[in-house]
Amino acid sequence: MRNSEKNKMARFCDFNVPYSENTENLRQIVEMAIKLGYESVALNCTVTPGTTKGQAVVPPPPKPVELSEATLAPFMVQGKAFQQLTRLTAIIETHEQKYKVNPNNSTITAYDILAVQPLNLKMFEAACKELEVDIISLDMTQKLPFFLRLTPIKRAIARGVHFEIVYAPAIRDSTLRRYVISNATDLMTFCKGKNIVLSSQAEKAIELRGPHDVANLGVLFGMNQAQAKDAVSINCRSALLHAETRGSAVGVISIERIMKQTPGVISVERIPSASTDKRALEKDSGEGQDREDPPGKKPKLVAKKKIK
Amino acid sequence: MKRIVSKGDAPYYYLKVLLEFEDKTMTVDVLTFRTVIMKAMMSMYGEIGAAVPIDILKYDVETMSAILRVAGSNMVKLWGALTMLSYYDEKPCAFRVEQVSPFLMALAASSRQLLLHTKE
Repeated sequence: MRNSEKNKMARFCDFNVPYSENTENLRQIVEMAIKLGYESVALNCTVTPGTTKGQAVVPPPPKPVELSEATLAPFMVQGKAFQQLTRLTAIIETHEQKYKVNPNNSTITAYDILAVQPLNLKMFEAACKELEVDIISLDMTQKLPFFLRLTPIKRAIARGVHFEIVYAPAIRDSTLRRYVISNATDLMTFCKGKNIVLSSQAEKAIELRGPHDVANLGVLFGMNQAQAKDAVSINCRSALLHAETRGSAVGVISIERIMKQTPGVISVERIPSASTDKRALEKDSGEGQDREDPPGKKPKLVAKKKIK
Repeated sequence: MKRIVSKGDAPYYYLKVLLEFEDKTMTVDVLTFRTVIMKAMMSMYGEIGAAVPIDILKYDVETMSAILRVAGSNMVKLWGALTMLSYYDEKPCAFRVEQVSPFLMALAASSRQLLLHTKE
C-alpha cells in the first residue's frame, strides 16, 4: 500500500466485494473491477459474532486474489499498483455482539477495514457514537427496522465514520431497487451527501458498474456531482486512513514534574522599567542608593501582593 | 480553428456506451439495442422516462457500442437508467458508459483509457 500512495488523489475504490470460497467467481469480479477502472478493492467477510462460546468465530482475513500479469498490465503502464484490501463486516444486534467488535481483538485488527451492520436503533446509535469502526453499513434492501435520526448521524460524521450504500442489489432486482433508492435518499436528507461510501456488493462480475456510473447513481440518490465522485474515491480513502489510525491510536501519557516550588514564593527578576533609562542605572550603581523608592522596585511589591 | 464557448447547460449530451452480455456470443441489431434502452428507461422512470427523446447517432453491431445523444436535462436520468439495467430477455447484461461529453468531438479520444473489448 505504501508504494501506491503517490497516486492517491482520485483512486477509485470498491470496498465491498463479498468474499466467497468460489475463487473463480471472485477472480472474475476482481478482474472486471480492474477493467472498469477501479484501483482498489476490499474483499468483504460478513460475520455474525456469536453470543455463546465457540459460535461464529471471526475467520482470518482472506488472501488476496492471484491475478495474472496480463490483467495488471494497464497498471504497469501507468506506474500504478492495484490494491486488494480485506474488510470485516460484523452484523450486530445485541450488546454482547457489540462488545465482540472491539479493536483489541487481534483477528479483527488483521483486517484492513472494520464495518458494522446494526440491526436495531440501539446498535445503530452505539455504532454512530462509540464503536471504533470505519464504516456503518445498513441493509438497505428492505424497509429499515428503525427511523434514522439526525443526532447520531451527525456524531458519526464528526468522528469520521462513513456510511455505506451498496448498489448491486438495486441492479439485481426491481423491488430491491425501490428500497435502496428510498433508503438512500432518506439517509441523504440527514447526512447531506457527506461521508457516504458507494460500493457494489456484487455477487457476479456482470453486476459491477464503472466508477463514473456509480457516481452518477449517487447523483440520483441526491448527492451533488462532486460529492458523488468523492463517494467512490476520496471518501473510501479517508475510511481506509481512519482504519489505519484506529490501529495506531494507542498512546502513552507521562506526567513529569518540572520543578519543585514552595507555594506562594516566586523568584521575581528585577527588570528595570522603560522609564528608568541609562541614567537611572548609573544612579543605582553609584549614589542613587539613598533614594527611597526606585521605580524599578514597585513591580516586586505588586507581585508579592498578588500572590498573597 | 473555431473556438466554441459554452455558456450554461449544454443543449445536448453525448454518451459513448457499450452493451455487454454475460454470454459473450450474444449480438443485437440496432433496433433491439434501441428497445433495450427504451426498456431501461421504462423500468426506471415509467412512461414519462420512455418518452425522453434519445437518438442513436452511431451503432456498431460487432462491439455493440453506440453513441447516444440526449438533452442535457435528461442526461442523469438516462445514465442512471442504463446503469440500473441488468437483464434483457432474461439474459444478464450491462451497459458500460465509456465517455460522456457535451461535445461530440470529445468522444474521438478517451481520457479514461478504459480497455474494454480489446480485440484479440
